[in-house]
Amino acid sequence: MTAITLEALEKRFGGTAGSALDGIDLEIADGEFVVLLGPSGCGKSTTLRLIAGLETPTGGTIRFGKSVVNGVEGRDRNIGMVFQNYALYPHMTVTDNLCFGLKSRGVEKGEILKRLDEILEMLSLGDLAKRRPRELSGGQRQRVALGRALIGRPSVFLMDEPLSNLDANLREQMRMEIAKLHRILRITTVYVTHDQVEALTLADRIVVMNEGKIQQVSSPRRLYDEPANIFVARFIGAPGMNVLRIEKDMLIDPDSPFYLDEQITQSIVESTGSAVRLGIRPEDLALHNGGFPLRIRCRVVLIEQLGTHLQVHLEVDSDKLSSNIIAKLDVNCGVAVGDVVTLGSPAHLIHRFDDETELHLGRLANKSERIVSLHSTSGDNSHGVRIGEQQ
Amino acid sequence: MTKQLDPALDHDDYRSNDKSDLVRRVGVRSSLFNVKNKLVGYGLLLPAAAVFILFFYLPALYLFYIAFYHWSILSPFQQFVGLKNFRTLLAQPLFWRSLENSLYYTIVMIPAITFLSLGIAMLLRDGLSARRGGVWRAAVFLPHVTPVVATSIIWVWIFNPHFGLANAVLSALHLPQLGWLESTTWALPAVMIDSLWHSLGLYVLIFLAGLSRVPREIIEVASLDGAKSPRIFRRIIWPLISPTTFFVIVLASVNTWQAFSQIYTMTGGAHGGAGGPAFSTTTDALLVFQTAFTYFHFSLAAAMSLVLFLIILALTVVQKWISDRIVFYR
Repeated sequence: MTAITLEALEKRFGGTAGSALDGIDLEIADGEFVVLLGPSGCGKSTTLRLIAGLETPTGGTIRFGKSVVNGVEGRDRNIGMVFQNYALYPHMTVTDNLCFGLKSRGVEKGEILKRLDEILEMLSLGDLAKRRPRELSGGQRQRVALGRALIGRPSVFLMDEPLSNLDANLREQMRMEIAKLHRILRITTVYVTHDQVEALTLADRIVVMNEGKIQQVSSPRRLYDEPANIFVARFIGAPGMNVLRIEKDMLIDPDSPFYLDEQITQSIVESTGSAVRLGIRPEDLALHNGGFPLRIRCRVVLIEQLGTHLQVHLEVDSDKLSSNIIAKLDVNCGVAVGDVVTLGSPAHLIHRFDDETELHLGRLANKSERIVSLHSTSGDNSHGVRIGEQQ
Repeated sequence: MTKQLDPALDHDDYRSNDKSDLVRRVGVRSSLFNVKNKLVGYGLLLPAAAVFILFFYLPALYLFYIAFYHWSILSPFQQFVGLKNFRTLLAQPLFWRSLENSLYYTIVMIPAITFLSLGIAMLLRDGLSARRGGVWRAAVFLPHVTPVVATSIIWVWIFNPHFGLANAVLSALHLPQLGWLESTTWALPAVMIDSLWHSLGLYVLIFLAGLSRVPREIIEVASLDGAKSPRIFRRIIWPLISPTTFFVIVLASVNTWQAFSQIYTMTGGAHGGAGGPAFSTTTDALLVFQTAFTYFHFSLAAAMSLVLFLIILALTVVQKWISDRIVFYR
C-alpha cells in the first residue's frame, strides 16, 4: 500500500499555448479513494496518466511513499489501471487477458493459477474464462478490466472514467461493485470522472479541477456545503448553484427585483467592491411565504416535470440585468410558464462570493441564526438532490 | 387509419383500407422504386464494367482458348492441339529456369517487403512527431508514384559496375565491388533492390493504416502489465495487425509474380535483350512477354500464362488456408 504525493506537478504539451497541468499539489493517503472531478480538458486524465507513468511531467515531483518515481517506468510502479474503453486484449480469452501481466513479470505458474482463481471468484467471472472480449457484455468486459488491473496486486489503483461506456443501470451496479472492492482491498485509488454522482458516492475525498488547476479538495459533503469558489459551486449539484451578481446601486433602487432585509443590506454595503455575488442552490429556493431575508422577483420561462419535483427555469424580472435562475419546486406549487413569482431563501442557505476573486466568503448567516426552517432535515447530500418543502 | 397515414394512397378505394392492403401498396411502390434504383446503379457501373470486360475479362478467357490451339496471328484457321503446348513448355529448360527465377524473386521479395515496410511503419508511427511524420511518410511513399521505367533507368546508372553509386558505396565501406546487372549472380538482386525501393511506400502506408487500428490504450495497458517492447510487439501488435499483414503478403505475392517493367527496363529491354545476362533475370512474366511478342509463339505464351495463373491461384489458396488458422479478425 502506498501514499501518493504530487508536488508542483506540471505538464505542458508541445505546440499548445497553455499548459495541461499547472502546478498540482496533492497528497493522497495510503488506502484512500480519491476522485478527480472536472469538465473535459481540465487536466484530470493528464494527472492520472502522470501518476501511471504514461506521460512524463515537465515539472514537479511524484512520490509513491517516500520515493520519487518521476524517472520510474510505468511498468515498475506496481500500478493497476482501468481505461474507459476497457482496453482488453481483443485476441485473448478472459483467462489470457487476466494472466498476461503475471506472465510478463515471470510469476511462476502455480501462483498464476492461484491468483486467477481468486480473481475469477471475486468478480464472478468463472463461467466466462474461455470467452473472448467480443463475446462479453459491457459490464462483463469492465469486470475483466478490473480483474486484470487487480490480479497483479497493485499498490495503486487508477481508473480513468471506467463507467462512462456503460448504460445507466449497469453504471450504478458497477459503481457499487467498485465501492465494495475498495472496502475489501483498501488499495490507494485514484478515480477520474466528469460525473459528480460517481464522485460523490465513491470518494473519500474529491479533487475538483478546472483548466489545469485544483479548485478544491475536500469531502463530498463539504464540497456541496462549502464550495471554495464560484466554479465549484456551479459545477457541483444537479443543476449547480445559482450565482447572482447584485450591484450595490441596485440595493437602493425601488424597481430592483431583489429584496434584501436591512441586516443583509447593511453587511453588503460595508463590504468592499462595487457588487456582491450571492449563491443559492436550486433546492434551497422556495416560493416566498413571508419572512425570507432575500427575495427575488422573477418570471417562469420553462418548467420541467421530474416526477419528484419540478425543475423551474426563471428569469430575473428586471430590465437592467438578465440573470437566469433554476429552482426545484414542489410538484403541487402551481406555477405556470409566464407567471411572475417571488422566490426566497433563508439567510443560512445563501452563499457569498467575492466579486473579483470569485472565492467563497461564507454564508449570510450561521445555521443557528436561521430565521425560517426550509428543510425538515439537512438531507442526504450524496446525490445533490434536495427538495425544498413548502408550506 | 390508412387514410390518415397517407391519403393519396387509397383515395379511390375507401373500402379496402385495412392494414395488409396498405402494406401491399407500399410494397408495390417501394419495389418499383427499388427497380429504378437498381437500373441507375447498373447504369453507373456500365462504363467501367464495359472497359473491364472488353480489355480484361474477355482476353483473359480467350487465353484459355488459345492455350489449347496452334494459334497464329496471320492464319485464319487455328488448329486444336490439346495439351501439346503444355508438353512443349514443360520440356523447355528455359521455362523451368524462369520459374526458378520467379520463385527466387518472390521468396526474397515477400519477406523483405513485409518486414521492411512493417519496420518503417513502426518507426513512422512511434518515433516521429505528427508534422515531421508527414514529411517522412511522403518521402517513403514518393517512389511509388514515380514511373517505374523512368526510375529503373536511373537505377541502371546506380548499378553501373564502373562508375555507379552502388559500387562507390561498397568501396567506401571497404567491401568487394560487384558486377550488378552484368553479373549472373547479382543482376536479379539489383532488380530486387529497385523493386523494393519503388514499391515499399505502398506497403508502409497499408501497415500504417493497420497499426492505427490498434488502440493506444491496449499498448499502454500492456506496458503497465509489465511487458517490454518486444513482448508487446509479439503478443499484442503482431496478432492485432495480422489481417493487414495477410493482405500485404497476398498483394505483394501477386505483384512480385507479375513483376515485369523494372526487369524489362533494367536488363536491357530497350535493346531487345531483356532477361540477361544468361537468362539470370528471365522471370515467368518476362518469358511470357518474350514468347508472345518477340518470338510470336502466342499459344505457347498463353499456356505459360495459364501455368502462371494456376501458380498464383494455388499460392493464394494456400495463403487463405493459413490465414484462416492464424489471422485474428475482430
